[in-house]
Amino acid sequence: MLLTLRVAACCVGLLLVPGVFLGWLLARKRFFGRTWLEAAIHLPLVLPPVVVGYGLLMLTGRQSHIGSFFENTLGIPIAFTWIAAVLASSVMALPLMVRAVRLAIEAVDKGQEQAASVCGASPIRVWLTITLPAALPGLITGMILAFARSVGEFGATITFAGNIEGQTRTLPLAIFRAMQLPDAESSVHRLVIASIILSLTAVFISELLSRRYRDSALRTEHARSRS
Amino acid sequence: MSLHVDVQLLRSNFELDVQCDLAGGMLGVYGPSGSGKSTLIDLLAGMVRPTTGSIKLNDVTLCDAKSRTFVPPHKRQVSVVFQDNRLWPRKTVRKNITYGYKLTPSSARRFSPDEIATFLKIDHLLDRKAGTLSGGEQKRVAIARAILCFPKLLLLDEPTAGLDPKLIDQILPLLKQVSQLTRIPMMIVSHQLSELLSLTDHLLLMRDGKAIAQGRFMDLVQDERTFSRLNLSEPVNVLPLVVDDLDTQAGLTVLRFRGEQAHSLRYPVRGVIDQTLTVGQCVNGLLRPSDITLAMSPAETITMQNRLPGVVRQVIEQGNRHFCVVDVNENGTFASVLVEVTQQAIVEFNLRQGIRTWCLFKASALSLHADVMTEQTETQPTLPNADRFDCPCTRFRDTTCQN
Repeated sequence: MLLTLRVAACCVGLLLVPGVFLGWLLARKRFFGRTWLEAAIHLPLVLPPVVVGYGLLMLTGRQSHIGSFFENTLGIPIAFTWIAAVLASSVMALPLMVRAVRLAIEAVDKGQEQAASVCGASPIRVWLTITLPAALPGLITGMILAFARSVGEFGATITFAGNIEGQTRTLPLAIFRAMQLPDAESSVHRLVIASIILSLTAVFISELLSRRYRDSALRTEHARSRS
Repeated sequence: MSLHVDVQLLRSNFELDVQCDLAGGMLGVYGPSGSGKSTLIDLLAGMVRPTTGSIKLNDVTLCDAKSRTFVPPHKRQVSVVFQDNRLWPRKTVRKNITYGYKLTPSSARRFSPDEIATFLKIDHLLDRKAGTLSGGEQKRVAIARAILCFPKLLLLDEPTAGLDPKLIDQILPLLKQVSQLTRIPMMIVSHQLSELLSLTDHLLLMRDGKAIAQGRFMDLVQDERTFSRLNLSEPVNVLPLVVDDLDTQAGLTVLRFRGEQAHSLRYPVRGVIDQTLTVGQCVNGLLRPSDITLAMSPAETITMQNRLPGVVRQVIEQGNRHFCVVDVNENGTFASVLVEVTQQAIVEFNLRQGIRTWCLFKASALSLHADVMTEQTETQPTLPNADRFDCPCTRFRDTTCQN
């Protein structure tokens, strides 16, 4: 349970910067290969998770260049460790995050950014003070989606990280494991309930945040129509 | 201050070609919708790159296609009051107006946000979210935000669009005051000729993406190339007046030209009573050229309340429309009005330069709009420490009041 949370939190943390960057890139920039980049990001959504896990294993497994570099030079093995679980769920969650951020940034009025730049704000300052705060609800939605995806991730994790007790056995893997054992029905039930509670909490928080945002937007609308 | 613009922009469905100069004060950019006025603002602010040509502001080249110079918007010191204001709705008014202020080095700050907020009457709104303001309030906040960036040039895109007439009457004098007190050169875009003329008579005419001409209104009227581009059915005569008396019994507002002694007029200007005005207040009297009748005598047997003696300076014939420019002259005060006449009238009354005539118009034809005090300096609305500024009224004395 704690392991699951840790993996999911690390996954969100890992995705934050590239997720926001890619979302912004796709929302605002027109460049060569944009469609290809978009397709590559969305690939994990359509591929079977096992294929994604296998791909990651090929890329960073012990036999690969990256994997052996990390293991031999830095002393950090990747495959079949909790880091692998984080990586697997990150790749799976990236498209959800990018999509949410992209939609949020596309919805930010470019005119308001222009207004800031004619006030003398550099592009970075415009982004930090105008674009980001306006896109924040979308960003939070993306983070919660990524979190939920990570908590529920099964296929890619079991392929890439394995199902090792205390190391890579996240909640869905634990449920799977318990189902394999005879007479473990009660522990299956416990784990299922835990997973439901975790998911509901995530949905609840997301709903709360978006409602708060919508309420303040509504108040703004209301006050405007009244005056 | 000097601005030199010579830019061209080529787009698949649109072509822009503008040459203009501005030495200070206010320039009104006039043209119908789709004539490229807003694109010109985008070019000046740096939001669009020109295809060819250059823009120079105070000897700084903002962009030049030849040398591939392009100063980005945030380094131009050119502020914009957008047509749709573009405030940040979820920030407070204070945060909105101090955004540019905080980015300005303190040595370049000429006034404080509080001064400007008081001046624009938004000081009671500072802690409200900008998204909750009404249209007129938003416009004033947008103006405050732009001024507090301390720009070298201020661009206003249709500042009266979407506001009701009452609010327009408030915003226009405010803009004039801002221009006088801050001395920031301004470029005001509008498709309402009469509104521009109550602010300035210095115009740039735009049509189909081209700048046709730049000059004083009366010069543009007399030029046959530009004449047909001006909508002279609008109330383009802007008389600089002061309220002399509010005569509730007669139902009249009695006015005099600015610079004249109170109650000294033999030929006062009369408008319909308007209780919102006060005696001594400066107003602009707006009048359509077609609402004025020329007479060879004061014609005292008709009900028209206004009879001003004048001299025909010029007769303009453009196509089938005819106008007389009449200098209305009384006690040394001077104003020119444009009068629409017919061919028949010109022949019948032998209208030509130098003819003495009377301008007659109904009190109800004259619409009165509050204006900035340019006459009595002691009642001049000022910023709390206005001694930092030059006397703001000299320019208007020269052109309209001649005291």
